Amino acid sequence: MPTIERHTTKERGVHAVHAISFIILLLTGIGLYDKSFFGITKLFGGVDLSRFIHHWIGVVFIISLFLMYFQWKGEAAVFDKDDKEWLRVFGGYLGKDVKAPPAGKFNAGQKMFFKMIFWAGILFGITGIIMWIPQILALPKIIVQLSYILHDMILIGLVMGVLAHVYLGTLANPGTISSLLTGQVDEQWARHHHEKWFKQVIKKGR
Amino acid sequence: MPKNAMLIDVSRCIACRACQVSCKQWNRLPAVKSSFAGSYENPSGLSSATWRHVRFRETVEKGEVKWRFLSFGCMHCKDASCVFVCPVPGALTRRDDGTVYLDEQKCTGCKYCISACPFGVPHYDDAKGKVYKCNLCADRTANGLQTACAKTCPSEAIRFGDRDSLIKDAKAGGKKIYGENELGGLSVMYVLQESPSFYGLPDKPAMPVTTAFWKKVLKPLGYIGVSATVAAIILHYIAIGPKRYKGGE
Repeated sequence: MPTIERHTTKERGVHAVHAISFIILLLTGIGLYDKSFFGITKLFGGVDLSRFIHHWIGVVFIISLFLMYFQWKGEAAVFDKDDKEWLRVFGGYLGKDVKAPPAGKFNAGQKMFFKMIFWAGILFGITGIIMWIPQILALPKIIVQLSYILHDMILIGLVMGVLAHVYLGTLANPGTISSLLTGQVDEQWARHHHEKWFKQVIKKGR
Repeated sequence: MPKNAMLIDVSRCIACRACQVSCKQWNRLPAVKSSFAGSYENPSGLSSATWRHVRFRETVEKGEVKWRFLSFGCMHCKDASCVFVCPVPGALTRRDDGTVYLDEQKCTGCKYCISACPFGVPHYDDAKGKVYKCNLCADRTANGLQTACAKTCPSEAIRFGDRDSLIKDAKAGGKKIYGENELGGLSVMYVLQESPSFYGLPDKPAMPVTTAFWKKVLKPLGYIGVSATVAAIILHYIAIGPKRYKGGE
């Protein structure tokens, strides 16, 4: 079956670094969420090493976030009538035979997720630094307390969002995962899921 | 089990700071370099190397100087916020004898307790990467000795003993006790001359709202939110199923 390129190697690399750093951050950080999770810190050689990894992978997470932001912000900035309609019908995910309006390189849901990831990541970084070196920043105690709350709120929101994101990219939409693995997708997949983008690519000529 | 406690009658305090010194000596805490800040108070407050500290409060009222002292350290709350937020099993525990014990070996230096303590007691040591505070001389009391500060106090302002009898004694003397019922009952109690806030103590100590929201509301909400997402995904896969496209497998 004929395929077309959906993501370049660079695009996939940035996404992979961001995704893997998220998973590492989750595993090194979740040990402090509750006493019953503390054992997870052993996975990375104890709590001291976990913390060290968490801090510096956090930096990688933020850098890759910005790289991802700059590589996709063009496509994510577009928001037209079809996107509005897409959101209204929830991308056709709420029924078996609901037709979703044609999407560009990204559909409206992906664009919203992209923006959510970006702002959540920035807040993750800011609250993270406050918790990392509170004694150096010497901020009022309430700021540190609010950082704990915000960091956890973002965590909960992102874990929920990422679970949905992973589901939609794998089980819910067969044929999607190859866009991350090889960068190539089936033409018919592209026509079905991202019709406007597909037409653009065809027009430009392969 | 009888509860260890200290009752500090501030009207008996002569601000000699022997409690400060004996605490440092017993716990082998180094002296901290300080600078003059217009008061005999020295150093300026608790730190990771100062677990007991005499606060000086100097005011002028109706032309008369009022000089008040408060020997201050960990209050050893029954419902201790620090124990509640500590994520490390066994690092901060409330013992049966009334001690809130911080195990240096287990502390990871996450500093959650610092943000949670309503009294501002725990302090972080940058060099060691751990938090420190008074352990009510657990190594002494376990061997039948009283705390170093109580032992050394020359004016008997700090008294160590069984909590119930300390309270009974103070009440027999007609004294009002700070800490008898606060936060479930503190193991370090005061008989004060002024209002608690005069000494920089909270009038009604409580777990900070932010801490309570964080761990009592948000944490369970996190479990609910993530479980609901997983449930929704499974439900979606069963009820609606994947989006297949023409020509695809």
